[in-house]
Amino acid sequence: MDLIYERNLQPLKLAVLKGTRQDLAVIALASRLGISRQRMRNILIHRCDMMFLENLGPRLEAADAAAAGDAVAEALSLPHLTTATGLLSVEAAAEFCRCAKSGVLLSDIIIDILEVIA
Amino acid sequence: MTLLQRIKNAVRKRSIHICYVNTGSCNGCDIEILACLSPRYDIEQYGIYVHNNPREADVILITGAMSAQWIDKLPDLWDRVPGPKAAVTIGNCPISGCAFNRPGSLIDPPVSKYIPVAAAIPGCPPRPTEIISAILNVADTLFENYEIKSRGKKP
Amino acid sequence: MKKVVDVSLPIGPVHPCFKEPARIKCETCGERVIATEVELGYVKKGIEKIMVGRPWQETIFLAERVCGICSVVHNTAIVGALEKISSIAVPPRAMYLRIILNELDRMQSHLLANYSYCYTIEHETLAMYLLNLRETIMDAIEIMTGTRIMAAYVVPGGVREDISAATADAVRAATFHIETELPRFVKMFETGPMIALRSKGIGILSVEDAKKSGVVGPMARASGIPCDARDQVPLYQELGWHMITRSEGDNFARIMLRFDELFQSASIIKNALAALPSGPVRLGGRVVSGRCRNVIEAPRGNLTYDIAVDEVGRVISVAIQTPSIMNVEVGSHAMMRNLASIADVTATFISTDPCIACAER
Repeated sequence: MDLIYERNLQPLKLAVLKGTRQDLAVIALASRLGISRQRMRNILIHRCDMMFLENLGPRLEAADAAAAGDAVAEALSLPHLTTATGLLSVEAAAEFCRCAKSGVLLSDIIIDILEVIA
Repeated sequence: MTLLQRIKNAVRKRSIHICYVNTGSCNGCDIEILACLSPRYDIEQYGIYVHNNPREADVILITGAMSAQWIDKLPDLWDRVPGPKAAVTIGNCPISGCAFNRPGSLIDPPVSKYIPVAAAIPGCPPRPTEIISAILNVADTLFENYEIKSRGKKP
Repeated sequence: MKKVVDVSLPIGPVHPCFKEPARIKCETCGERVIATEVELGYVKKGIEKIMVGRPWQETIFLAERVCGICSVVHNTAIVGALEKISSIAVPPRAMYLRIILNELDRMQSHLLANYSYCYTIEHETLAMYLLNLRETIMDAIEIMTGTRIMAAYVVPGGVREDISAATADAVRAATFHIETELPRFVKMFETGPMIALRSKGIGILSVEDAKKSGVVGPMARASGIPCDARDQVPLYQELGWHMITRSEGDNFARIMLRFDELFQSASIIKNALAALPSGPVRLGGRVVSGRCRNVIEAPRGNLTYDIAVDEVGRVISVAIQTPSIMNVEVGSHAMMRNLASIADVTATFISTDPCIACAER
């Protein structure tokens, strides 16, 4: 008898992300980062566990509220990537924030962020 | 019938261990099984014990309509139950998929495709009394003279 | 989760403590639990998918079968959304009857949650007392609607049938029975030294973690966040509802908060039965096209139905956001982090009142 303890969860995670509310959340996050929905789904499936994916909508709403006051965090969507989904560590987010304040172009920083989270 | 067989029959009638497996139901049937535990119905007066451990179970109660994760795990779990054993399905879902059996859903009923089912209790959900009487009937007929009936069959 | 750990210990999917299948993967270091991850997919049926394209009459039945424990509240939520879209009027007597049934449902759900917790921390005596008390409520629901679970009592434009004076007396007697019996069990839970050892200071949910993941319901209120969709309903205020909060945020606070809410629900039912207006219980209406978001308070927190219907009454899109999604998520990621013992994982998980069928749909 095979003992299957770890199976491939990718199809199940995709089924979670196809839910109506989760789909809207993925589209919103993808448009923030300027990437396609499929690529965003791929990143989330590889980096997050299933419970995070189910709860994507409320967590991103909370991150929206957290980012509202801060122009840099809003432009780079840092709360969405750190507290909401855990794709980026807090230290890395602080580093990107410092870069942005020192005058590096925001579009360049977003490319760097995508390299880190992919 | 030997004396040993008679003792086995008497003991098995008074000690039925149960494990319930939710293979994608809505909880309705599961809480009706839980209600059987309450002093009102008092399932233990019939010698039925709910342990929820497949390795010491005699009767497996299956609720739900076979979701994707269970398709490989349920036959595996069935293999680990020591004989004599019986599977009883509770509710409409394991029989037909009930309201969920529509194009586009992620379930694959019936449960009898995957493991041999001894009895089915329809209802959405069935009452606790029906569950208790079905378990008692199944156990009495299936486990009586088990060694004689299973002689010649592979274990 | 890639970390240096001793053992990655799976709990579930079939486990003596769990009513429903879920698998908790615990990353342990000695006896200490560093992090946990809940693996789902065992009860994923895709209800939102099969609702799309169906006439709204069929979706009411499907919505009821999202969750068997809180089926009444799912029924009320989707019917409320359809009524809001089509502006169907509900007669006052039906509004009162809906509140009575919803509070009965809340009482049986809270009793079941507290039973599960007591059973998990191996206090079986108290657990059986609570489970037997729950049968009183189930009887009241059965007398009122005709069945124990999946009552389909709430229909667009009112409720399915009126209650007689004898039924009202039976419901009143059930709440009276709860109010006289329950204080003894609450005292047992509150003063039990072993229960306190297993419950106090374990699985603490901080306000920051709660805000981050949008926790709702008794879990949020036990952490001191006033969050209850009933404050938007004027009828509840008339019937004596008020916000109950606690500040500790541990397992003990969550269970005690549910006990407090049981007494409040009983008094709401009594007030509603005393003030029950006369009149019809069911009026008609036509469903028109539109889109609406309806939030009501389920036993576990805010339940949101976001539903769009076209002009012939077919559902175009539906999004169900159940409270268990948020509560189980924060349970696995915030409360079960750095627990002292592996035995606290199941107790903490059950204290969130997880409903996996709700969370996965």
